[in-house]
Amino acid sequence: MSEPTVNPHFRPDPARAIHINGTIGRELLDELTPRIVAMTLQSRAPITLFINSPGGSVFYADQIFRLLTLPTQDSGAPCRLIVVGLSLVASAASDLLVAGDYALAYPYSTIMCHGVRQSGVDDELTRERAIDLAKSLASTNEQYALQLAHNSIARFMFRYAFLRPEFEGIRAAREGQVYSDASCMLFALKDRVSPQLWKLLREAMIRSLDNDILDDRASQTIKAHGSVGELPAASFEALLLKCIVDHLVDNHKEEAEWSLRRAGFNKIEENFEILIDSHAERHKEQIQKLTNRWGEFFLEATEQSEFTAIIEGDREAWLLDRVAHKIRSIWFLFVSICRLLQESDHYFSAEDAYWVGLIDEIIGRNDLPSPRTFVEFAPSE
Amino acid sequence: MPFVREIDNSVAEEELTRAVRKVYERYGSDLNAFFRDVQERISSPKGNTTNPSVDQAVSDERTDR
Repeated sequence: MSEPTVNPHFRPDPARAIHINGTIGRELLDELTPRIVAMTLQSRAPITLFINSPGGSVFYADQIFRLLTLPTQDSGAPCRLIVVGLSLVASAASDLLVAGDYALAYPYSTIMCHGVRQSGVDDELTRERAIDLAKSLASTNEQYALQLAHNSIARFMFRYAFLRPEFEGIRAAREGQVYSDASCMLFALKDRVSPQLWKLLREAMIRSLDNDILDDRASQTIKAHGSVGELPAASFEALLLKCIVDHLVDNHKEEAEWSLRRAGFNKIEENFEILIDSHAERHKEQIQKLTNRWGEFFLEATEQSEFTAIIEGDREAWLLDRVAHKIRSIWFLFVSICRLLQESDHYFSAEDAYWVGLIDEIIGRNDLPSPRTFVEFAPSE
Repeated sequence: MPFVREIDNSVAEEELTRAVRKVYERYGSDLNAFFRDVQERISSPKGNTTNPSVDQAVSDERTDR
């Protein structure tokens, strides 16, 4: 192994740091703006954000995030953002933590996630207003869940790569039953996380199985359709909607009382969001990137020997063909986890946050592998 | 939509992808083997870094004693 070196892209730098202490609101934004703007203009080196906050306004937290990721006249790329959770990182503050390019937390910190809340509703609450509010909150939570999943999927995929060698033993111990990689991953996590997180993971697994089946159905329909890329957006959406409706009807065909009108529409909307997202260019780009990084680690033993025989130029496509479905399956599990994080309040230790993919590294815990370990300790060429 | 982060194609991300591939070339898909080596390296008396400023700080600390 080569000599390890410190890599500034994966370490906090107190010389270029901003601190968020206390509640996030207008006052804090006003206080931080001149310093952040100056820092982004002085250099394009990483900026470190230290957080000790119970949360506050999502609007102002996002304003701070946007300032921290400002472009310059010479560079559209934002400064790399390294975020460190100090003690309490709750609500909107945890959104900031997870949105960092590299997220760290101290061992005794607490990270809390929950769905959005609407405060200060002064108007008299009518039935129509209550329905609108509930719809708006549900839709915002869904968007947050997908955004959280996009921001953190690379972390969760790292856990998948790390835990995957254990899957063979997990399957052998449960002889006679077929377990997917996603199920094996949950079993591998079971003894590493708190009982509260384990409960959430089990629930997420149940939900993601349904997404997996729906995704298969949609993928087959799209494949059968052939030139789907040439379809107008609305026709493509109609194709997906039909898949969702067929899927729901099949799921509930034994229930005489179940009807789309009574119970199905919320589910249609939820499934529609995830299918549209998972067929968007951004998602495809993300799958490609994750395949480039981890593809070899996700091959079966027999495939690994095949892989070495593939000529260099053909490897990328070959790898994508073999592992994209595994990555998609883990993606759907992770989206289900992120959706559950938007329901009720979830308090995590730094270790739980690490295993569920919300952060990259726990400071001082060198027994838990991190991206920094790779870049600082990787073998030389 | 708040906290939208574009897909990160920065130098740091490329460094990480390169590092992951180097680890695969040397250790295969068993990441545990790599991390065991890292653990040994960290716990060795030489420490876990060759950063000159950190080494200097350690050296200064000893001098002060």
